[in-house]
Amino acid sequence: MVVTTMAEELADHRFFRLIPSALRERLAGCAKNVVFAPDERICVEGTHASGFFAIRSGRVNVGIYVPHQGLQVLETRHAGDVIGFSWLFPPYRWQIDAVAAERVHAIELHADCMLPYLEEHPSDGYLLVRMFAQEMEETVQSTRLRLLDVYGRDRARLT
Amino acid sequence: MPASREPTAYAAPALRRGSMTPVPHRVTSVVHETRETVTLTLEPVADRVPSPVAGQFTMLWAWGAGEVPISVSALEDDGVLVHTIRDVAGVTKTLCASKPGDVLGVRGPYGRGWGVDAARGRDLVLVAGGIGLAPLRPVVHTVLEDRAAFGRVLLVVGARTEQELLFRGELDGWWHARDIAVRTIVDRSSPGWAGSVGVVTNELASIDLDPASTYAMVCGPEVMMRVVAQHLTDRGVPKESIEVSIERNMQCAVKTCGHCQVGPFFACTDGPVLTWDVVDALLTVREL
Repeated sequence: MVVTTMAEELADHRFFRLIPSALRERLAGCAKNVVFAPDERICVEGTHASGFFAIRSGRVNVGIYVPHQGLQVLETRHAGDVIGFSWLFPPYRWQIDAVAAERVHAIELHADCMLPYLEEHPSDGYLLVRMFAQEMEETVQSTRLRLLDVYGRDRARLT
Repeated sequence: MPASREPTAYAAPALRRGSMTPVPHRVTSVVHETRETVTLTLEPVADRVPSPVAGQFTMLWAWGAGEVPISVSALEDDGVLVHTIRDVAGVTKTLCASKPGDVLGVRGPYGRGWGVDAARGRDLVLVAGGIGLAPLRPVVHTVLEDRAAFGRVLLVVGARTEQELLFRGELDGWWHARDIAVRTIVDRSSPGWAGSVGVVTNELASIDLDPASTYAMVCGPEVMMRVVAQHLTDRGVPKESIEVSIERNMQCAVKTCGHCQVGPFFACTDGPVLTWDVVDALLTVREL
């Protein structure tokens, strides 16, 4: 049986692959493995955003609950993605709902553990915030493409 | 001055079969794939056109309406042609309203098709968006007929909604057969949708690729193809191993009218399938 440390597991994850090993070691101390069953809620809009999740396997549907219509899925996140930006900013409340679309293995990182360290070590904090900014940029760009409605009649290919 | 006021008796010019002469074909079946997309099967009334290869197109002529380029969406024997057409008004509206027994004109097939032979022995990544699945479908059929000739095969299909996904039955069959990995992703979800929501690159990003052995074929709206090709090159797939099917205003299909010119290339004859190293820089030129 191969036993891996949390730092090694983080190193295997796309999001953490490029960060310095010292910071990874530090973040590993704030992390734990979690498993979600299909349809299990991972976070709920309006509740305290206590950290973020790095998906190791499985798919997660991210969306917003609409009364009488259920979860309106806005995007699907996959292995290698992270879920949760709200832990970084006041009021530290989830802005979205996330539900496991299938069995999901993830690493949960806790804000209470990370934020004090990142405040005291701004260079590490800057690096992590930059990584989240890149994730946000990719999310925004995906959203822009969908707003463009590339499959709609006006932009459809003929052939 | 003619001696008689009788109309001149013209002898009908002998119709010479040339590349611009539509060949009559009869519609033998009409399958409604989605609300605005149909698949027509055509059989020659008399003369046949040459058999197309995957990725080629024909000019389909609806009498009294006009002519449009339509990719072949399956390869059949005995001169039978299969085309999947989306109703985007104009000629396509007339074509989509075709009924069994109607006669359409066919010119072609034209253009450069997919480099299926170049993909043999390699992992194959097919990315289709919207109606772009139609030109790639013959590639999937070819792969399934000779599955051992290819490495891992992945098909990522994007659509606006679940209802607008093409060939749903076949997609399910390919997925269940497990000979190829099929991933579907839509822009907007609907209740009960079990696939992903987002853009095709979201789905691609979650899949491990061996860049050196990957050969990719991408077909969809131009913006989508650009984003996918960029994603693949960012991951190390060589540009010459990425093919896209470009679409321009093809009118003559024989490199004469110039409407489909993209820089030094004509989409109708040099394309529609071109490798990314050839078109990368051209597709970002706004004037083109």
